[in-house]
Amino acid sequence: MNNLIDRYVYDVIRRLPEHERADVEKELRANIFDMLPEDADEQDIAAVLSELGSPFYLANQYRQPQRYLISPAVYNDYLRVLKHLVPIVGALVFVIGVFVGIMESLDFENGLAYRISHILSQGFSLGFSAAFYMLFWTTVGFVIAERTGAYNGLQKHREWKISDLPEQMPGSGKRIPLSDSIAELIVTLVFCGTIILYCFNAFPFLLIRNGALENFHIFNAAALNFGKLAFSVIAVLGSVEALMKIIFRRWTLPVLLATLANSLVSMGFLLHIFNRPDLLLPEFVTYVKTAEWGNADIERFFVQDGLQVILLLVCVLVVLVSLLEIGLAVYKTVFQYRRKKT
Amino acid sequence: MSESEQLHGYITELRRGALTLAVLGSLTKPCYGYALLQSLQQKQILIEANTLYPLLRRLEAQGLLQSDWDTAESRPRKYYSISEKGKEIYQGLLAEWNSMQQSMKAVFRRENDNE
Repeated sequence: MNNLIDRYVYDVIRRLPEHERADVEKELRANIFDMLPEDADEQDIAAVLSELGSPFYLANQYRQPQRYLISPAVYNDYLRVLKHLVPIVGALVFVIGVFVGIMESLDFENGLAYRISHILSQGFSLGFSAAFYMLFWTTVGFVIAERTGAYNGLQKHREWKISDLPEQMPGSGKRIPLSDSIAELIVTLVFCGTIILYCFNAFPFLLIRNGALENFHIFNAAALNFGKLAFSVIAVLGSVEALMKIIFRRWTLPVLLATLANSLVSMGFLLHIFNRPDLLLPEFVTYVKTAEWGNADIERFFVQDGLQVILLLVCVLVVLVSLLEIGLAVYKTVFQYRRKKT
Repeated sequence: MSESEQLHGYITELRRGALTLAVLGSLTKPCYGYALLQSLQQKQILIEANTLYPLLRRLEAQGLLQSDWDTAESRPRKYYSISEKGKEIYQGLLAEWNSMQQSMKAVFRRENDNE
């Protein structure tokens, strides 16, 4: 039952300047407990909080008149909008930039390093510009809304109810770090983008043979064609999962569903690819079997179908990693929901 | 803005100064927030908790009130009382209040006579 009071007090003090929060919190708690009868139940608490009224209004009353570009009354909402919009818009436009870069680089005659730097510079320059514009216009929007009283008007005309109190307070339940989700998005796009480029033959696999560097073909054309589709789908699902984590920041049902879809579909595609009988080119298999590895054990291993063993190990690894990912996602979501209930 | 909203705005303005005077006048003895709220409401002064508690803090920040936390009991309470500066301001306000009352009475008397 204390939770209602905690949520109310938090909803008031989060709108106040930092240096006043501890003091107002102590005083407000003391006042609320004074207003409650002995052995108060949840209804009594709700009645007292309703008497105190909207946390927005009370915080406004507590605030000493001061001038801010973005005042503490709206600062949290401003930060929340920025935290959601800037990374999402930046990441989406980064993806568009990378896509534009890939399309443009397919026509280039230049070397690989030039292509990669072109793709990345397209992605980062468009992504950063979009994030900067978003930051600027969100700030301008909040300043105008607050100066014209549009923001206060919006809050005033809305009847305040106990159910409007924030459900989550800082420190309750672990959040998914924003940096992790953004890193996940970038790694997914770079990894899948590299493989798709390889499938388009735009990315050579270089090996030193007979003292010279040469472009080596490992996979069958049919397998490469399937790879274009498979890794495009994996890139989309992986991006959706990372974006869901950026939007929700907690292990909620939509985040779990996106993770399950990504893990299961990726596992299916990878198992199919590594089990294709036509995956490897016969020339590559012959080369591996006849090459001089400088070690008798390694040579014997490859002669006795060692490549098949490696592919089998890769499949086992894919299954283990996918299952671990699914298990962790389910555990974290269940933990999050249980914590919310209590 | 509707007529009732306009009226509400004027009433709020009219009460604001009067509430400060009522609070300063009630705090000759130390008192905690909720007890002061009840005492003012018993005297038919229309004030709500969400106006009084912030007002006490504001008057303290301006040096008109002083406060002490009483931690002797199971529940800590913040007791407010009027400061020396507060007493001077209170006397000035009270004198102004009385003189305004006289002036207002004169205004209304003239209005009634004209009717």
